[in-house]
Amino acid sequence: MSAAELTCLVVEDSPMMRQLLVFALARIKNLRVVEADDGFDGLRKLAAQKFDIIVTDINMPIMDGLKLVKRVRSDPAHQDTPIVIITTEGAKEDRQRALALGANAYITKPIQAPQVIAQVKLLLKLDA
Amino acid sequence: MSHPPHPPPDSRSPQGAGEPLAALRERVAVLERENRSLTERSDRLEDEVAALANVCVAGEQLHATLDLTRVLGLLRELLQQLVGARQFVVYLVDPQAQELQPVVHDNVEPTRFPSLSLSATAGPGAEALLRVFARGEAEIREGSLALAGPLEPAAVLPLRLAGNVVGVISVLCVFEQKLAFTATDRALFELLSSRAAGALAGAFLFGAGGGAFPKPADLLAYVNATIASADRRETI
Repeated sequence: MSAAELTCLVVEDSPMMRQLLVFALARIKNLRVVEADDGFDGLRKLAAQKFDIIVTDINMPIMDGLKLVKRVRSDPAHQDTPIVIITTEGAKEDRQRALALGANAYITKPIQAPQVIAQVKLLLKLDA
Repeated sequence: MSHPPHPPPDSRSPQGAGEPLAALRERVAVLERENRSLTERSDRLEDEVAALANVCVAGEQLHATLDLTRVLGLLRELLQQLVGARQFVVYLVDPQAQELQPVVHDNVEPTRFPSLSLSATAGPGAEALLRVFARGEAEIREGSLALAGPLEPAAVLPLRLAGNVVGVISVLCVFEQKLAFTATDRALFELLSSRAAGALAGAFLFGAGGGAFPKPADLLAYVNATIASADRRETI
């Protein structure tokens, strides 16, 4: 798959975590990253364009990551978009629920940039 | 169109057959070793870049706000989400009461972590805090973090401000998947020691000034007056 036109939506309410995720993902060649503050903002951005992958936190105000995964999977336009969720260690139930709702993979905090890059590349079927 | 099969490497010179093949194998082995070495180097560089990114982002975010609640929230976020601290307490010194007072904590029962007297004999778990406060040097557990807890914190960090220690951060324990502190964690700890109290002080000054930014004209007048004063001092 060519990486020329790939886009990633990062949904994270913490500016610090969002900045770190964006920094990590910017290391993937030709991947454009769009940021959203919470699930609702994420949905707004998904309504405006199609993304090749979504990376989302679970615990967020206004609309959490679980609701976002559910809404994304119920929308035919984004049904096949890979979703990576970011969870904390203590949130095993959230993680299982997100996977049951249709998320493709999860990463546990504290996140490591190489791990994020590898997971996104894997789901986008990009060469390592 | 079919091609004839390649002749075996030794078919052209039966007598010296072993030599070119062995040389080729040796060359392949050398290239494989070089490849492994480059991959390892690339992985190390990726880790270093990630570490630098963590420290840069943490430093930038700590100073991105003058709101005290937000600074405290960032401190909490940094410890939990970048370091992987599961339980921690941040203490600030109360010089009048001569004690360290807990101001921020996470996943701990607050009654179990009361103020610590600087003069009284330290109870179990408190020695490290008082020691770090007195010496101003962090104590970070080497190796496995599995046994860290309230009695033996995983890390105790001094909070420095203008050359003085004004508090400590006690990381009691970390998330399960965190096996040991890395070089990135140590860099983050150093950042917390040197910058967190400064961010708190900035928020304090902003709050004490009524929580309002100066008007552009006031800011310009203040900058000009300060520069003029510095120039006068230099002239003298």
